Amino acid sequence: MRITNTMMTDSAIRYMNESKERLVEYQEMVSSGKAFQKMSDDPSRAAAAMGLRSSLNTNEAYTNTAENVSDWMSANETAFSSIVDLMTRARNLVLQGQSDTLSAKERTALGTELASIVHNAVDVVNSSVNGRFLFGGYQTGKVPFTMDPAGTAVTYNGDNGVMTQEIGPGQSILINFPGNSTFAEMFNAMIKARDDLLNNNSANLETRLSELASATATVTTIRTTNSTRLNQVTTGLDSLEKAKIEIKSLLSKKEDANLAEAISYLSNQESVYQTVLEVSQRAISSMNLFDVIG
Amino acid sequence: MPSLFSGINVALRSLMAQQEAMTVIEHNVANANTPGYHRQEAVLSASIPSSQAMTFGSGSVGQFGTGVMIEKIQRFAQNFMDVRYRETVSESSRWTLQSDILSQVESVLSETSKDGLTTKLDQFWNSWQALSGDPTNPTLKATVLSNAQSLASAINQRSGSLYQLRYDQNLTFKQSADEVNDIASQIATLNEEISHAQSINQAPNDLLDKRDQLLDRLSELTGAVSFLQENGEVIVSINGHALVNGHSTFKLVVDSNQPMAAVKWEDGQTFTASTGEMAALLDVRDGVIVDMTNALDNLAYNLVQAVNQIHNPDPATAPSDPPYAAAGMDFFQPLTTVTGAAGSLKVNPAMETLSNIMGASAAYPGNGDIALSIANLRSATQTALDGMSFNSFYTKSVASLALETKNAEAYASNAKNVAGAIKTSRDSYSGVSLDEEAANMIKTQRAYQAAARMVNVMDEMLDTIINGMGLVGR
Repeated sequence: MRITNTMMTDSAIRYMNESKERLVEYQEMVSSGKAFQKMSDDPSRAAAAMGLRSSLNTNEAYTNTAENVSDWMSANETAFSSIVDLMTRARNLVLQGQSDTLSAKERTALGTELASIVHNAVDVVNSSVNGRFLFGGYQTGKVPFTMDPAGTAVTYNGDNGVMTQEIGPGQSILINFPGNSTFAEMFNAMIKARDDLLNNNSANLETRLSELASATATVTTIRTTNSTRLNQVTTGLDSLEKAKIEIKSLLSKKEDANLAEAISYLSNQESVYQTVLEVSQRAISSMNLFDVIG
Repeated sequence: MPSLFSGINVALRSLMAQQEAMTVIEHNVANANTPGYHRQEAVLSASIPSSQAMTFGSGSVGQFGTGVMIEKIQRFAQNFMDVRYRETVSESSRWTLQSDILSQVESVLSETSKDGLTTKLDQFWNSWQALSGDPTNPTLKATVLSNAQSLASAINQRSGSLYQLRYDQNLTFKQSADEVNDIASQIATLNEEISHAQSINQAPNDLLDKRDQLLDRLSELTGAVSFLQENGEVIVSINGHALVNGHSTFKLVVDSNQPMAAVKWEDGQTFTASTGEMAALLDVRDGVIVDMTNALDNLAYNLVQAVNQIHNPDPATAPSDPPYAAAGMDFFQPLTTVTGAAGSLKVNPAMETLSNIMGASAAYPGNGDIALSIANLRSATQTALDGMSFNSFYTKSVASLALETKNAEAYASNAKNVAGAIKTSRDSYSGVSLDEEAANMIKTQRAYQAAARMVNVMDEMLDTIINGMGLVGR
C-alpha cells in the first residue's frame, strides 16, 4: 500500500483520540465509583437502577410511617394499661363498699376516691401524641372526652372514625379506637358506682360490679387487638429494614463499578496511552527524503 | 539528417519539460496538507519525431526523435472510490450528529444524577404519605408544598430545555438548507468551467478537486449522490430529486412561517434527505425530541388531573363518605390541554396558604385518606400513560431515549470506522507522499542538469565548426 504523510498523521490522531477516550472512560468510572455515567452507557441496567432507587425512596416513606404508627400505638397501649389499672382500683373500691360493716360515711369516702379515679380516667383517655388525640376518632384536634363541672356525665366529642395508615404497599393498618365504643361503657359504670357509693346504695353495688367487669372486658379486648396490630407494625418494620438492605445491595450491583477491575483497566490504559503517544510522535515527526538529500 | 541546431532544440525542449515537471512536483509538495487535494503528475512522452532524408544516397533512415514533451498533467483520482467514500461519510456524519444531539437531550434529562425527575416524583409522593400520618401538621404541609414546587419546576425546566434544543436543531436545519443551495450554485459554476476546459483539451485538475470537495460536503449534509457525465459535468441528486443538472440548479426553499421550518424543493415537492446531517437533524427535531416532549406533557397533564381529582373532587362523582365529604381547591393549576402541559405545570398559588392543602377534609381532621390516596398514586396505573404508573412511565421514556442514544453511538462508531478505512484507501491513491516527491524532484533535477550539459556539448560542437575550421572568409 502506498503510504502518504496525511495518512500517517490522520491515523496517529485517530489512535490517540480512541485511546484517550477509553482512558477518560476508566478515569470517570474510578473517580465516580459508578459503572455508568449516562443512562445510554447501559440503558437496561440504568433503568433497573432507577426502579430500585425509587423502591428505596418508597421504602423510606413506609418506614417513616411505620415508625410513627408504632409510636401512636405504643401510646394507645400505655393509655390502655393505665385505664385497666384505674378500673381495677375502681372495682376494689366497689368490693370494699359491699362490706356490711361499712358506715354511710365510709362509703361516701370510697365514693369520693372513685370520683377522683373518674377524673384520672378522663385525663388518660384524653392522651395525645404530637398534639393529636388518640381516642377521638377522626376528630384528632378536639379533646375527646369532657366532664361537666358537676361531674354528672362524661361527654364524647369525637366520632366513630377509624384511621388507616399504610406501612407497606397495600398493607394498611387501623391505628385508632374511637373513644365512644371503647370507654363509654366504662365511664357509665364508674359514674354509676361512684354515685351509688356516695348515696350509700349498697344494694346496687352487685350490679355495678358486673357492669365494671363487662366494661373491663371491652377495654381488655380492644387492648389485645391493639397489641396484635402493634406486633404487625413491628414485624412490618423488620421486613422494611430487610427489604432496604436487599434493595441497596441490588442497587450497588447494578450501578457501582467493580473498582478493583476498573483501577487495573485504568492503569493498563494509561500505559497504552503512553505508548500510543510515543508512537504517534514518531509517526508525525518522522523524517522524509527531503531531510536527507543534499 | 537533423542539423546541429536541432540538437540544441532537443536539449531546450528537455530543459523546458523538466522545468514544468518540477513545477508540478512543487505544486504537490505545496498541497501536501490541503484537504481534498489529489496529487498530480506531469506525464512525459517523446515528442513527435521528424522524418529525414538520407544525406548520402536515396531513401530514409526513418524518424529522428525530437526530444521530450509534457503530454498531460495527470490527476490521481478514482471516481468509484469517491462515490464509495461519499456513501459512507454521509452515514457516518448522520449518526455522529444524531448521537451528539441525543446525548445533549440525555444530559438535559440528567436522570442518573441524584436529583433526577424520578427522585423528585418519589419525594412528592413521600411527602403526601408523611402528611397522611398527621394530616393537619403545618410542617408536613410545607414539605408537600416545597416538594411539589420543585417537582413542577424540574418538569418545567426539562420541557424548556427540550424546546430550546429543538429550536437549535431547527436553526441548524435551516442553515444546512442554505448551505446546500450555496454548494449547488458553486457546483453548477464549476460544471461549466470544467466542461469548457475539457472541450479545449485542458485538464482542470484543481477545479475538479474543488468540486469533489463540495460533493463530499454535500453528501455529509444530505447523502447526495452524483453521476459523472462524458463532458466532465456532474448530475447531483438528493433522494431521487435533481439538485444540479449541468449548469442549472434546483434550489431548496425554506418555509420559516411555521415555528419549525419546513424545507421544500422549489417545484413544491417535499424535501427529504436520505441520510447525512440533515436527516439526523430532522429525525431528532421531529422525532426524538417531540416524543420526549410529549412524554413529559403526558406525565404533567395526568399528574395534574389525578392529584386535583383527589384534592378537589367533582361533587357530582365524589363519594359522600369521608374523606371526600368536603371539597378542597385544585392543588395544581388546572390544565386544559395535554400539549404544553409540562411547560405550564404549576402548583396553585393558593396552596401557599398551607391550610388550603388538604391532607384530610376539614370535617375529619384525623382522616388522612386524601393525602394517602394522593401518595398511593405513586403505584397506581394510569390508562392515559399506557397503563403504567407515573414513575414507570417516565423511566420507560428515558430508558428508550437512552437506548436510541446508545444505538446512534454504535452506528456512528461503525460508520466512522468504515468511512475511515475508505478515506485511507482514497488517500493512499490520491494523497501526496513527500518521499515520492523528493525522489521525483532529484530525478527531474538530474535530467535538467543533463539537458543543460547537452546544450553545452552542442555549443562546443558548433564552436568546432564555426571557429575551428580554417580562416576562410575572415
